[in-house]
Amino acid sequence: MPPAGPPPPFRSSGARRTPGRATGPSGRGDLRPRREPGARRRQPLGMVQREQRNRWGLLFLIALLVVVVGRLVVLQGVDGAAYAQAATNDRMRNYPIEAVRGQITDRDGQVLAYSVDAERVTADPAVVTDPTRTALALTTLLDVPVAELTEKLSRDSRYVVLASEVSTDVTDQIRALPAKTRAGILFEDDPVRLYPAGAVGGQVVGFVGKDGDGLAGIEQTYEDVLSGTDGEKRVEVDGSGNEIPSGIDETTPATDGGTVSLTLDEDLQFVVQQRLDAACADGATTSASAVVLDVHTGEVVSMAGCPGYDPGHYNETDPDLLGNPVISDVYEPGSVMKAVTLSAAIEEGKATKDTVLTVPDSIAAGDAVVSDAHARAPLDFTVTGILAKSSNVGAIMLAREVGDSTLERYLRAFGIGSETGIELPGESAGILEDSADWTESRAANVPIGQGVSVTTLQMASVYQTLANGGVRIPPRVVASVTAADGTVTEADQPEGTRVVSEDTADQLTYMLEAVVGKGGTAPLGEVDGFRVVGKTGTAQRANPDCGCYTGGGYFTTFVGYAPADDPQYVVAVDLERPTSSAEGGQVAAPVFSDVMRYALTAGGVVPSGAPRPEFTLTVP
Amino acid sequence: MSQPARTTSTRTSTARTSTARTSTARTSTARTSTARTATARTAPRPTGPVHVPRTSPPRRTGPVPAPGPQLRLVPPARTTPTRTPPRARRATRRRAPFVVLLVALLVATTLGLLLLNTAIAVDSLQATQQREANAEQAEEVARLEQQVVAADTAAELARAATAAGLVPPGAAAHLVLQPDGTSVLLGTATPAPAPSTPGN
Repeated sequence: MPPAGPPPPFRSSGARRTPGRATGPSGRGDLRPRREPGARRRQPLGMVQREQRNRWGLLFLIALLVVVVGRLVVLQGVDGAAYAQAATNDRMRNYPIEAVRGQITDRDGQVLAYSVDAERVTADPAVVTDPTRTALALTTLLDVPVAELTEKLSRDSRYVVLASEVSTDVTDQIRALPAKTRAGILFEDDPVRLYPAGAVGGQVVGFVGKDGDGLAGIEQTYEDVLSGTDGEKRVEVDGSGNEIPSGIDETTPATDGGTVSLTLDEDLQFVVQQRLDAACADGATTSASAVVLDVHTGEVVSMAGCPGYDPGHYNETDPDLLGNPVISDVYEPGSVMKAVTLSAAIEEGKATKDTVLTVPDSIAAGDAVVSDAHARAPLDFTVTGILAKSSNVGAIMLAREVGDSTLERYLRAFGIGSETGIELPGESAGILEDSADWTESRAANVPIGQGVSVTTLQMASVYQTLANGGVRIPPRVVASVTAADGTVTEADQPEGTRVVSEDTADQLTYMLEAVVGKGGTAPLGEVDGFRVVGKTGTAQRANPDCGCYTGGGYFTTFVGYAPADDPQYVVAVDLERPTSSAEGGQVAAPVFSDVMRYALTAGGVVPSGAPRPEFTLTVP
Repeated sequence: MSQPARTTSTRTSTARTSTARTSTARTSTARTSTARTATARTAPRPTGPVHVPRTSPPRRTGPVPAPGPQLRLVPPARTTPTRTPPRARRATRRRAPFVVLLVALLVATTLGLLLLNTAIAVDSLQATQQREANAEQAEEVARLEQQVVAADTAAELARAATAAGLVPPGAAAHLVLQPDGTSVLLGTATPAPAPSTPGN
């Protein structure tokens, strides 16, 4: 309506003037001239036409308005959130916050593994102006040959890694280089895992792979605790990327990894490792393992094997050595298993420590004949004498009294044939056949520790049971976990289970003391000033070439505890000697003795001064 | 009431019909119809004709010299502006402090914002510097801790001890007091061997 209005009045006013003068005085005469201009206006557009045009115009405008409003609704109501989000995202920057991997410490808090900040030096060759000059500047700092750096910096690529795990003081020096020299050089967070103790405890601690995941040992089992949770810094930035002080800040902080405290004692671990390394260097020993347990808690105080490895250089080590032989390698324990056989016999009431048996020097077992180490005439041994002299025949005679299924029950109760449940990966359960499947020769072999495979840790656990008055506590290596916020979670202490009565355990301790003393098989196992309890083992090693025992050499073992009247530590030592025929009392016992002496001295254990009893081994 | 209404109705009817017709040409039929019906229905109202020239068609009636009384009605419109100056003066006197207050507020707000923004920017800069310094210190602490940890390991201690001329102890002997007051010597105390490479 309005657009059609304005033009006509001008015309009308012009038309009015002339007639207005002529008919000015008379009031009615001026009506006609006014009509004329009106009539002129009607000529181009009639009333109906004008109205129609107005309606169409109105409709057109309304349509436009509807379109605009509709679009507005779509923008604000329907797509609004998405656009607002896009706008916010455009202003937000995300920076990852890497969680610091937790530490692994020994029982006293000595650090065995920890992480420090380091950076990966990378480059964008497209931005590097002068590869030769940059390479020359970096070669000494990064300790990488110039030629290699020049080649990398000249590549037709946008990303090359120049060096990994570069310490921050070196990267600070690189950052201080002239801008032209360091053009195109970039840095990324690349925390480095350090193992200050090196090979000491390395097999227990394990190592971390290139991507930061634990691949062995505690690093693997406690990956969830150690790794923590990465955070993210999300802040509003201005056009040039600077953080806006009072802008949006949606930062989620990183939760650092927790600290895992082990039950290991680093000093003892060092001594054990040194002693084993010395044993491995004697020319005949190819591998050795040792474990020290706390009698009353079942805690692993030390656990080592040789050859060991340094977790910091795991990638330069033979992959076959990147395990933990103490829990993964199984062997036939030999005579040390006789302690289980005799425990079963005494617990079942078939014998006491003083029972006398007439023991020949050999005994038929199915298609085989088992004989004692030294040929002799039949002797009247006490049960103590059978153990002290390590008579195979006597042990088999007692085992036959007990019966196969009962013996198997005792073996399994002592933990043979099942994993100990220690917090380490790759544990072996060992091999123990069902007694129903035992052949006659197998039934004669198992009581003396052949035809059954155990780990060093399992063997130590058997003697821990005897030392602890017949109560077996599964060995554990983690003492507690300290979260990043300081909350300490003590590791679950497994329930002890009674395997044999206290009386049986005491009798075994008495008998085993005879082994180490005068007339026993292991005088070298003695620790000066202490009453030591232990048992030697010399088991034939299966020859991997023929699958037979011929030429396979021996596994020599020694397991024992001290002091006899109040046991504190159990030490199990196992040496694999494929080319030697030396017995456990000669090679394994000295290692045991050295380790035990240090454990007792460092542990502040004082001998009670009670005299060593006299033993009756044979009855004349 | 009825007499003056009639006379006015006749006068204004002429005037109105003219206005009504011209208006039809300009605007719409609706107005004219309302005007006509208004005259017919609201004829008894005396105020009707008085108001017409004031409000809607002063332009139309303006050029026409004939209707004198209608022109006279305009002065009241003139009188109103003459009355307003004193009011305006009073208002300006009243408004002046208000405007000054507003301007002052605006200036104060602007200055305050500027100051606050500057303060925030300065704080932010300082915070960044402090954070950098903090990070540097943390790095330094980490480096020192690294040295401590490395020097505190059993292997390193053993090496340092050997370098210092210390030797590992031999077997220890224990002098154990018995309940009856006597003492028993357990083990044999052996003197430590002389170090192979004497320390400094």
